[in-house]
Parts: sequence; structure tokens; C-alpha cells
Amino acid sequence: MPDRGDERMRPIAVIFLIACILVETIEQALYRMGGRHRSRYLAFVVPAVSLHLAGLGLWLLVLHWMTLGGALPLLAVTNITVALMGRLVFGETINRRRWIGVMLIVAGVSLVAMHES
Amino acid sequence: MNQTKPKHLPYHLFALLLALDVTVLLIEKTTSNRAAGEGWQLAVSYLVQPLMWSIFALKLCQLWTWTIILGRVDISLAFPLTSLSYPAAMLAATVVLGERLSWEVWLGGMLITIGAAVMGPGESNTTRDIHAAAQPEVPS
Repeated sequence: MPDRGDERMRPIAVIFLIACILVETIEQALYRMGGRHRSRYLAFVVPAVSLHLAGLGLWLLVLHWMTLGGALPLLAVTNITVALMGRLVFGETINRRRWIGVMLIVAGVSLVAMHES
Repeated sequence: MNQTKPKHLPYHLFALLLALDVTVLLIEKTTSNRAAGEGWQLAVSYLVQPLMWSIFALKLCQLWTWTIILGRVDISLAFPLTSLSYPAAMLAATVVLGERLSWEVWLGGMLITIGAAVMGPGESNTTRDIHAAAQPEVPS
């Protein structure tokens, strides 16, 4: 097993990880717009797929500095940022039940990610 | 024509999305088991497998299904629900590949499933921009 990454989080790794989360959030916003405006489908989906590839590059850089078991659980935060984006950008209503569900899912994904790597 | 807002989650589309997700993961695992060598040899041993190329086709189907779902359902509901692919993949890894998973991983899978159940279908679409393209912009 290659001993990549540091036990302590490097600031640069955290910055790239946050960038990963933001990129995926924007990517998902574009998919949503593509799904809702079918006449301009490709105008939204092509940039989204490009962002996906850019996000993949960022993610590989994060893994250069951090262990998978350290980085992957943090990526679960994307569930929260995407939900917030749905509320703030698209005006979706998120009731308490939905928030509790999101938090349980984030906890579950983090737990799986921490122990499967 | 007034399009009515779908009140329920498109379960069949979600099921398709999860099935595609799990299939892609199983194929990725199978192709990486068959791949061998180092450097370029390893890359080539991936690329000569027809299964590897089916992943791209499946990814396109996934993309299409996902955007249809987002066309009908709140993203704050749909996106977290896609995490159900974790417990689905865990079941597939156990049943199909015979892998053994730790109890922590199973607990995580249960938390995700409970979270999805708590979110429930509820009011699955709370915005009005649905079918924006289907409705002409000129007043009727």
C-alpha cells in the first residue's frame, strides 16, 4: 500500500478539496438546468461534463496530498452544498425532514468512505 | 396546456440510475481484476477489454437518466438519494463478487438507507421551473 499523503491536513489539500466540492456543486446545478430546459440541453450538459473532468483532475491532486480514507468522507459534504444550492439558487423548499435525511446520508457516506479504503 | 406537477418521485428512473451505477462499479472492478502489467502495458490491458468500453455507453445512459430526474424532482432531494448506490453496491459486492465488508461499512449503508427513507418522496418538486421548455414562452 503506497504511503501517500500526510496524517495532518495540508492547507493546499484543503483548498483543493473545497474546490472539488464547489466544482461538483456547480456541475450538478448545470445538470439541473439542462434537465429543466430541454431546448438548451447541450448548452448546459457539455460544460457540466467538462467541469466533471476538471473536478476529477482536482480530486487526483487532493489524493496526492491526502489519504483516500481522509479525503473521501469529507467529500460527502457535497450533499449539503448541493441541497443548499437547490434552496438558494433555485428556490427549492427544504423542510426539516429533508435536512435530517441529508445529514443521515452524509453521516452514512462518511462512515462507509472511512472504512472501505 | 398546463402541465401538472408530478407529485411522486419517478421511482423507475431512480431504480434505473442505481442499477446503472452498480453495473458500472461491477464492470470497473472486473476490468481492473483482468488488467495486468505496468505503465503503458497496464493502460493497454484496460483498453483492449470490450467491457471497458461498455462503461462509456453506460455512463451516457446514466447522464441522460440523471438529467431527466432533475427535470422533475428537486435537486436537494434527488442528489442525496443517489447515495443509495452505496448500500446497493455493497449488496452487489457481497452477492456477486463474494466480498466481505466490515460492520462499520454496513452501519454506514444502513444510515444512508434510513436517511433516504426519512427524506421520503414528500413533496418531490417545490419549484415552478419544471417543464420550462415544454411550455411555450408566448402567452397562450
